[in-house]
Amino acid sequence: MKKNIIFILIFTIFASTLYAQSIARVAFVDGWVDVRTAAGVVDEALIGDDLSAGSSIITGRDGYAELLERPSGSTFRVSPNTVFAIREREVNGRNESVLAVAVGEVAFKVNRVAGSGTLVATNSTVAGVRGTEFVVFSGSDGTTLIAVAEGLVEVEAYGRSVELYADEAVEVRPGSPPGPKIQLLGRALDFSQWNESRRQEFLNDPVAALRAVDRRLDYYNEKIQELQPQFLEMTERVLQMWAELDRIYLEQGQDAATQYDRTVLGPASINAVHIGLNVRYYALSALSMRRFVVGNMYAEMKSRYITRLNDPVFIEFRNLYNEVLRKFEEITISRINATDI
Amino acid sequence: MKKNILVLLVIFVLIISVFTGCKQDPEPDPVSIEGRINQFVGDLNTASGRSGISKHFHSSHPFSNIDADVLIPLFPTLPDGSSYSVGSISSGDSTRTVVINRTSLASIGRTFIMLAAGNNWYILNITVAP
Amino acid sequence: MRKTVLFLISVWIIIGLLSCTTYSQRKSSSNKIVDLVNAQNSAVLSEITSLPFLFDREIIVLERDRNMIWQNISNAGFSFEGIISTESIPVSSGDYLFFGNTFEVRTWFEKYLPQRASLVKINTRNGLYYMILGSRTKVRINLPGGRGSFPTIHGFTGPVQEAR
Repeated sequence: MKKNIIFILIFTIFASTLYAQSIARVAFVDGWVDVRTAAGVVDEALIGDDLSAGSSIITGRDGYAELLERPSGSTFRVSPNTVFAIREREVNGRNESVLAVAVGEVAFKVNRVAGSGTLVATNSTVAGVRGTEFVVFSGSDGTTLIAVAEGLVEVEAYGRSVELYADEAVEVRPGSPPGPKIQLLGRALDFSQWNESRRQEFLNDPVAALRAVDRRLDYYNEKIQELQPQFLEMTERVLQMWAELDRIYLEQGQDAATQYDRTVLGPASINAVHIGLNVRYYALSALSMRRFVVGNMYAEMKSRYITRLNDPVFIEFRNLYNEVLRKFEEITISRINATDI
Repeated sequence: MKKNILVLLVIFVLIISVFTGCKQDPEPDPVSIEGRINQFVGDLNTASGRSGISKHFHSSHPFSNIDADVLIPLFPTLPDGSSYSVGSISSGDSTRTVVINRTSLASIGRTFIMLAAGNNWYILNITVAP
Repeated sequence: MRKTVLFLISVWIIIGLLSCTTYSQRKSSSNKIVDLVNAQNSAVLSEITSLPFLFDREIIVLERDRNMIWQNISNAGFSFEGIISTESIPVSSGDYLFFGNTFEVRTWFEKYLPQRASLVKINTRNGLYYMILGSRTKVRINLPGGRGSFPTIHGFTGPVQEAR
């Protein structure tokens, strides 16, 4: 309940458009940069490419990309070893664009007309932004670091929010509310150094780190389990309305059917679809976390312990990993398609 | 002899230019508003079309997350022998009223709000036609 | 007529020899990979591993993560110890089971498995490992031990229990 109130607060402060009308175009590319399309096809990113439905930018170790969002003129600078996606979701009947940093570093310069806003999502938090310059670091252990250069960013997780002004930063661990504010005092943050510190912390206690990520995945699974039955129930009712539409058509003609569609079927069908889209949003967020955080953790552990797979630390980690994957297969996968992989 | 060598050389150059000079996959034509709507409605009629339906939507909308299941309340699969087709598309700017026919069943009206990305138009939003 | 028959026999012999070469190339391809792993040559292994890379049940898409895997494996001193047998066969549809029976692994096999990939089964004293190898690639940069061409590595898993 508290979380919902926070979302509403963030939304009323920052978002007022019925739908975002924005385009992200690749304005600059250097090194290895790929675009992953909605169909799951990975292709080289070229200047002038527009991110089509459901696509994302993936940069290699020497890759760098700049995206220009229109008509706002916002720019996103995507650093090497980063996965960055532009999506949208619906909250309380309104659409919000969501810029998702699955892993890596993206610098944002957001220009928004007064009264509209956008959200930035990572594996551990959602941040509402308005007319501001800031950097998002999404660590390989699921931790997020947001540092603001200019403007205001409100960072929310687990019912608590923190407002960041210029020269302030906050770290958010997965499965936890935002940490205390960090005063940057003019310091520039080095993502690879920060990520390395996160990695070391992960290696010191990999089970605890994976448990924190598991908590966040549980949140996504809870939302899926809450909304999916609602979607199915609404779909069933809407299909009955479609049958009623055709009955009216056969008995009373097209005009009567059109009236029924306009007043009953149409709104209900669109409402049902939006619930389904929200389920997909949580499923795709869970997939992102599972792929880029859990996957990275497993790869790190398995490759490190490959000659001592009987080590108790690895065994405990692997058992928890198997449980995470079991829940993912059982709950999340039902709302994932092959094109998402 | 010299003539034969020359002929072989010319053939060799021609063959090489076929593989290196020509574009193997020419750029597809840009998709207009009407083209996008027609493609979208056409795809509603096949399983493969429905599974890839998200490609018709612009990334800046929740519809970019759509899949075949989520599509069902909006455009359910039709019985065998029945299909969706475009009845009419209103003229105008990026907001179009579309009458969508269903074979031997009621037609419906939907408003398609379109948005261009580069040279191609995509569906931004679908609402009930007034 | 005689010339035609001789010509056809020659062609048949040449094709046969080439096939032998292909088979022995395939066999030596997996040996090349085994040698790289045993030499702990993570730099070349990273260079010849394509993305997305299937590592157990994980689909690795970032270069950084791919390089980390091979670096860690090398640093751990891993090698294919006491090889009992090495077998190389074309990949078949059920082979995803060696990696894991998950939606993502099945999808990787459907979407990313290259044509004419081979499944290499390396049976060693320290366990049974599988690799998916594809067409040859020349190492782009000068790396020690990286001269020549190597098969592309698409997947690696192990040690596994036989018949998952």
